[in-house]
Amino acid sequence: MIKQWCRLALGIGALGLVIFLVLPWLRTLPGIRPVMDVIAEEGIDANVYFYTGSEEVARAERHVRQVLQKVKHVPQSCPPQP
Amino acid sequence: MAAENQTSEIVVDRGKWEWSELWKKEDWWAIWLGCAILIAGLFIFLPRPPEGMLEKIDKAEAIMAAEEARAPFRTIEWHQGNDSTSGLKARNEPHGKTIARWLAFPGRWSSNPLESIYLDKEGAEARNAKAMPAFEEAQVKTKAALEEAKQAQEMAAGAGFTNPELNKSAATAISAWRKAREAEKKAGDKTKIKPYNKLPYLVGAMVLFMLFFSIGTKFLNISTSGFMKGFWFIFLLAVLAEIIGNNSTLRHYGFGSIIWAILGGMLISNTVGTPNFVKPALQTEYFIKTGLVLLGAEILFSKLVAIGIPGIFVAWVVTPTVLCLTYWFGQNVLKMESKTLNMTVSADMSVCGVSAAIATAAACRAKKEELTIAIGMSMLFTAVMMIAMPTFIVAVGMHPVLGGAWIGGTIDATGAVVAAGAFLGETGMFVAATIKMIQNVLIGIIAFSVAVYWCAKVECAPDQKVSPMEIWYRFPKFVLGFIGASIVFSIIFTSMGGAGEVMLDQGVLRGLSRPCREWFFILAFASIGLSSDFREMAHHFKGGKPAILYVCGQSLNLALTLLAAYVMFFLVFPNITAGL
Repeated sequence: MIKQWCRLALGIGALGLVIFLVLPWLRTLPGIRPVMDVIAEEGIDANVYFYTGSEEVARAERHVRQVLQKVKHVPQSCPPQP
Repeated sequence: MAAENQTSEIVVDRGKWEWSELWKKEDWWAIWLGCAILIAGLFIFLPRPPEGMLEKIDKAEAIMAAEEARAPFRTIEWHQGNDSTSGLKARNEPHGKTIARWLAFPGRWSSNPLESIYLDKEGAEARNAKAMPAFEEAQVKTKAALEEAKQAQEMAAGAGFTNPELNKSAATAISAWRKAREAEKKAGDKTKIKPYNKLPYLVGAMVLFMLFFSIGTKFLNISTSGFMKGFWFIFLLAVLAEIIGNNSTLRHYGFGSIIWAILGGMLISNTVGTPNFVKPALQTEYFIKTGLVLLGAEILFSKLVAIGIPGIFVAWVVTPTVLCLTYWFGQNVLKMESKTLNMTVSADMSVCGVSAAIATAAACRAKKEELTIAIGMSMLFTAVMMIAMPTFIVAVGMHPVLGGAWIGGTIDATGAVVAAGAFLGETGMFVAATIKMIQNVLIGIIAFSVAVYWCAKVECAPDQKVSPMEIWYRFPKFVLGFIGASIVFSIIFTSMGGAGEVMLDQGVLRGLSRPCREWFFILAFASIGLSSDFREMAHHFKGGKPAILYVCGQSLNLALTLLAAYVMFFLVFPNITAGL
């Protein structure tokens, strides 16, 4: 029984290590930091797994709908380049 | 082993329907309970609209129409009219705020986990004071940007909006003002923190959900007293998972509460063991199916046309194609033992991650370990793609509309899509988020199709022809609630016009249905963790086939989505791209 509790403690310790040391350290790496900084600055919740959980999606939808309404009435002059 | 299980699950013509299923089967209970919440939401929110809602919407629409006719760009007045309605939300009314308080999850924290539950007055004041200088600075910037925008617009108006240079300069100045205003709003939110103590509300929510689910236990052959005795443990694990998932670093990576609920539960069950008194409350399917019925109501079909035909093509043609090809690849090339694992991973990777995995796994009756594998891989790959894709897109100088559509069609989770899109700028984020939203709507159809396919083709002997009635008997009935809720709410939403957004989307759905659904899912994942076996999971992961399937499927997804987005947004509908 003690062995099992030790395993549990070890597991919690390992998770703690990942949460409080590994992931914050990874965040400082040059390849990761720029994206993470944008997420932090914009206050984006990257956890959301469905559109109704995100305020940004509601804002985006509103914007895109309005653009589409306008596009219907404005003729296109020159195509965009990818 | 898996093959044996599947053989034992083949269709045997029973040819009977018992009405008692309506109260004896958990699928039906999920429908009744889900409908009860949705109906309660309609009764709570619809009779109590925000004051002057219709007048405000009409006035704003009139202003916006007049401004559209006056200038070739969106004027300051147009934006002000738009802003006057964007704040209209039924859930911001007193009754909505009361519900939000009672269903609130633990909040965000960075260094002290206790802050997710409790914040005293001094703590709140300290946070507000810390954020105030940035807010004041943002206010000054917004004011200056507005002045510049007004001047530029006046000059353009002076030329009767016929001078392209002046029009362009006014549009640029207005855009700068909008950005400054958005930054001011975000900075302002950080200065409005109030002290809170969520503990009593969490206890209240626990009692409420315990009683809510206890109603069905009496008919489902579950010990009601046993369920009640064990429920608090699952709820506690769910709350702990929410607290961990709300850590600021983890939130940035997208490692949310779901994965911590699974890991926490697995850690307990595979070390000291899940306590016996908890076992009667481990009703994973009961929680998950009820949550799925609520999720169905959030699938509003009118959202489909949000970005026009290009969006529908990218999200609704490429996605099912990738799903079918990945599933075929898993069966015929990788020779995966479990069809349900293959389907769950394929759907999770091609459609929209966690929500698609939950819906598909329930529709094809996948094992809980298979769902866990699919979700774990999705979260891991999503975190990698959320960083790698926008970095690559910016590095190669890809157009933000193309990059946004690519991100929206390929990254699994909505939050990660928004995060990656934001790195491309506002346009990229708007496109990415909208494409992902359209893809989210697809899961209703996918879940329904998978359920029918499983009943008709998979769970039967080779060459066996299954009659339509037999398909009905075998059909997972909660899917009817899932699809039914979607259809009914889509009709109500469309029939309400402009008020639908305020009352239904920003009221019934985001104000009541969504928080309940999120609670039910986190309870389900805590239950999954507490009843999962590491060895069983290792068996399913044998040879790393699920990971190979995910990587191969995602590679195909990346290639097809990019191609489709390019063709649609740059060759077929360049005017939409230019407008965005």
